[in-house]
Parts: sequence; structure tokens; C-alpha cells
Amino acid sequence: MATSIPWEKQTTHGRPSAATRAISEPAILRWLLTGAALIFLGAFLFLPLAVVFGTAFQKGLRFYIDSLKDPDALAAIKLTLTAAGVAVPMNLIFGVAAAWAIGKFEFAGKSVLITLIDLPFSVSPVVSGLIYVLLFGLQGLLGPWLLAHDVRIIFAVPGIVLATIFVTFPFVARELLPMMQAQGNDEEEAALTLGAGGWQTFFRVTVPNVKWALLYGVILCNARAMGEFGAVSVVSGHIRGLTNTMPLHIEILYNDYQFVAAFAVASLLALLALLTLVIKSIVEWQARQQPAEQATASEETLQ
Amino acid sequence: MSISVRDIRKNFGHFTALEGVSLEIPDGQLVALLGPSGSGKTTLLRIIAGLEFPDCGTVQFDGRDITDHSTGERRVGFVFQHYALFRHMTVFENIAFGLRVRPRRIRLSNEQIRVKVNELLRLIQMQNQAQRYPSQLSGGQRQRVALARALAVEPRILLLDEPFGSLDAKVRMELRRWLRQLHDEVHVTSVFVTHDQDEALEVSDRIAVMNEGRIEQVGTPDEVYNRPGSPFVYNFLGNVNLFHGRVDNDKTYIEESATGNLVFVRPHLLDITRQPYGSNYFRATTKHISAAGPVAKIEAVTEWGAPVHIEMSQERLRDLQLVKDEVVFIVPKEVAVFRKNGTA
Repeated sequence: MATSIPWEKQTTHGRPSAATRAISEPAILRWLLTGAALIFLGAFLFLPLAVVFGTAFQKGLRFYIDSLKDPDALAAIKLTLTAAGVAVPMNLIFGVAAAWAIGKFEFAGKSVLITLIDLPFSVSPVVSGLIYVLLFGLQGLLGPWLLAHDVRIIFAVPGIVLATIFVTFPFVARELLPMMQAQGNDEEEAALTLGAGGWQTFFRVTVPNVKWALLYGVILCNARAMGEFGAVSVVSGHIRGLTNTMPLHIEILYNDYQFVAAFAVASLLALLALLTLVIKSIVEWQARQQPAEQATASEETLQ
Repeated sequence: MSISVRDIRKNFGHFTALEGVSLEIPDGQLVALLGPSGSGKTTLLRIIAGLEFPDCGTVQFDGRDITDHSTGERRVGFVFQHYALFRHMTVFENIAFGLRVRPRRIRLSNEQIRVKVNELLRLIQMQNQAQRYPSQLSGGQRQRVALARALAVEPRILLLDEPFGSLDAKVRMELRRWLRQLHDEVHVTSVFVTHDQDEALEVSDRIAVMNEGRIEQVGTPDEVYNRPGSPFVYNFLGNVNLFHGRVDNDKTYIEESATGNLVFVRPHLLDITRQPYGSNYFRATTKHISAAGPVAKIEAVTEWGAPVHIEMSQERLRDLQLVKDEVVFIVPKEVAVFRKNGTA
């Protein structure tokens, strides 16, 4: 099986235990290490973020708002929302179906399917975009047929949506799979013996058991869908006001030396990232909180 | 409701779980499927439940063929080894689940469901835990909730897969007595899987002993324990010493050199003497004497080097004044003889 998402849940949220206190280093070393970590964080995370917002508001709030109200910027925002609005629900359905099939059933070709789900992670986004150009472009496999029927995919909205779906499709499935596999089939079988139908079992038993992982997957999927650059850049054609998503629009503005306008739009994406982080923390906190509450309560009952 | 299983076969890939199993379970009985792990007992139970489908053979309830019916249509209550409670639902909602998922036209009203669930909560003595989640309950409580959940839909048959397998010894004992009482009250035909001979002997009306995908013997606890039909059953139900022997004029002689017959003797049916008597005895050296508990257990080694276990009352041990590493005579009081090919 391929590796899982590399950046997933690496935050450690442990309380300082008695054990860590026992391993005490000299004060100087501790300060040095903490300081190094803080400087690193500051240089690579907070400073860029500050620069984004600082530059965005360089010419004042008025200019900031005007940059966002520019018709091309509005079109880019609209297109990004459209692409994410289509890609996220599609990948939600696909991800749940795939995780369900893989996690709960045995069938031939299962490991191939798992590998295929990981494919978008292992392929460079540029290649992902090129695949669609080779398939649907004018010189592509289906190009002539599409042209004859007046269907535009490449350098048009459908291409952007397709590329976004492709790049973001592992997120939901990857979050759900380990949970579904760990939970096994017992509860589903119990529901069936109690007379529940397939859909009832799915919606009343399977989905509630993975709801936090599901929400987490959707949040990540959405963040990536809105921020995707490489694959979308290849299929978009960069037509202002028509096929530019927010990341592409930022690039164009930047290349035109409109730094402040570029950073204004970029600040929106940065805000989205911050919002995603907040929601993600809340979801993780909720998911942790529930079993924790139940565990403490059960200790009380057993005593 | 009676259950009739005819010539069931089931393979999982290259593994044969069941090879031609037939079993009749009369209405209202509590039957144990007893066997070691891998003997196919759980597979048989799951086939009766409709969670697994046989490669060939039929399952009938009250004479009606239901082999192709889905588990929901069969109206069986199934209790899983690891409880399989719905972890995101309270105890109350777990028990109510089977009532809530019914099609609207036959679904009870919320009030009726509440009354019914409360009745079941009283039955399992857990009225005060209705709003708890499964993770807040002890193992024994979870298993009782699982039972109540299965009973809520008024199943025609109750199936239990190693129901007490993951509980500690004391809770196990309590729960199996409770299951027996419950069965005597509710009288629903019940089948339970176990690898624990004591559990099967204590609780069930009948026992089907299974081994390697086949049923070795079906009978009352008394029958399978006292008149085992095969060496396997003899071995599996209770402790046993295994010897080679020779049969001469209806008399059995235990001899190391004899071939063709297997002689089984329960540890409590071996006596120890200082003087040889009768015609059938052999010499052994005592190796370990354990006098704790209601019966004394003695481990010895025969003159040909095989270990032998003997059980006797504490009084008898005191009378004998047995010591370690003493050469004694061992006299079988009652033996069971099987030919090597397995027939009695």
C-alpha cells in the first residue's frame, strides 16, 4: 500500500506528563531549542503571513476592497468557488463510496483500487493537468470529436473542474479508510440482523461512526480545491475573467507588477487557510472530546 | 421455532469451514455448538443467521426453506462476541434500533417504543444506565444490552456467538446462569457457540460437538459427557488420559506395546494403590501432588514414561499418605475404548 498523506495530523496535543519533567535539560539548552523552534516558525510561517497581509493593505483599505471588486478578481473568486463547489461534493460521494467498499468488503483488485486512489498524490499536478490536455485538447484523443460537437473542456470551466476533482480526490477516501477498516463490520451486521435495510444501515450506523473523519476530509479537500494551482494552470489557458481561478489570478497580477492587488487576493486565500485551520482544530478537538468524556464517565461507573 | 440444517458445505477460498453438516434443533431448546476454534461452529451459526450463505445445503425454519432469505427477513436475534453495540448511540437507542428501522406501517409509536425498551431495560436490570454510551459500560453490561437489543425485535430464534467469551470468569458464570433463566422465561429457540465445555454442559439442553467442519456428536450434556461417541468428543469434554490397550474377552488391558485400540480414562476414574489388585493395573511414579481445591490432583509418570493425571478426594489422599517420587500401582475403574479408526 502507498504511503498516507504525509502532512496529516502531525500536531502533538499531549498534556505535559510527569515523565517529561523527569527528563530535564540544562536551562540554556532548553531556551536555545525553544528559541530555535520559534525563530523557525516565525521565519517560515508568521513572517510570510504578515507580509501577505501587510502588502495587501499597503495602499489602504480602500485599495484593498477595490482590488477585490475588480471584475476579473470577482470572476476568479466565482470560478474558484464553482470549482470547489462541484469538486468537493463529487469527491465526498466518491470518497465515501470508495472507503466503504474497501473498508467493509473483500474483492479482487482491492489493492489496485487503493493505489489508484493515491495516484493524484504521487503524480505532479502539472502532469495531472496535461493528462486532460492530452485527452480533451485539440490535438488530444477526444479533441476532434469534442470540437465537432462544440463541447469545450480544455481552456474552459469544465476542464478546471475536472482537474480540481482529480487533484483532490484522495482526501476524503484517505481520511475515512483507516477508520472504516478499524471499525470492521460488526455494527453493520448487527443492524442487518435487527432488520435495517442497506441505506438505513449506512446512514444510521456507518456514517455516524466516521462523521468526524468525514468532516475533516471535506475540510482538507475544500482547502486544496480552492488552492490548487499546477493542474488548473495547465488546463485553464489563463483567460482573464473567464478561466482564471484565484491562484491563477494572483499569478497574473503579480507578473503584471500589481503587487498590492496580487497580495489582496492572496490574503483571501490565506484567510481561507486560517479558517480551515480553525475548523480543523475544532473538529479534532470535538472528535477527541467525545471518547474522552465517555472514558472518564466509564471509569466512574466501574468504581 | 425449530431449525433444520441439511448437508451444509462452506468454503472460504481454500479453507473448508463446513463439510456436510446436518443438525436438527427442536422448538424451544437451548443448544450449544461446542468445539475448538476453527471447527466451523461460528460459520454454522452465521449461516443460520443469514450473515453467511452456504455453498450448498439448506436451512429450514419450522420446515420452511429460508436458505436464500436475507438476515433481515429471517427475524433472528444475533448476539455478537464483541457485542457490536452502536457506539454513537445510548443504551436506550441501541435497544430501540430494531424497532425504529421498521417500515412506517408496522412501526410502533414513539411512546410504544419507549414502554417496550424500558421493559427490556428492567429485564437486564439496567434502567439507570439508559442514557449511557456503550464505552461507559462494563463488559457484562454491554453483553446484556446486546441481548436486550436482539430481544427487542421479538426474534423467532436467538443466536449467540461466544456470548461470554470476552468476560472474566465471575461475570461469565453469572451471565450464563442468567441466560439459562432468561431462556426458561422467554422460551425462544436459542443456539449459542462456545469453546468452553463447562459453559456448554451447564447451560444447554443439547450440545452439538464440532470438529474440523463436521458435527461429531449431538446429545444432551449427560450423553456427550458420559457416553462420548468418538475419541475427539471424549478428549474435548473434560480431562482425559490416553493409553494404548488390548481387548481380551471383553476386558481391557492397558499396555504400551498394544496397537489398534485407544483407551480413554478420566482422571477421577483412576485409583492409586500400593498393592496390585485385579488383572489390569500398571506401575507409575508420582511426580507432583496438588492437594488444594475440592479434589486432589496427582501427576505421575508411567513405567513407559508417559504422563498420567489422577484425581481423587482429599480423604482418599489422606488415607494413602502419598509422597512425591513414590512408585505406586494405578488401577483404572472405568475406561472407554475406541479402535484407532475412531469407532467405539
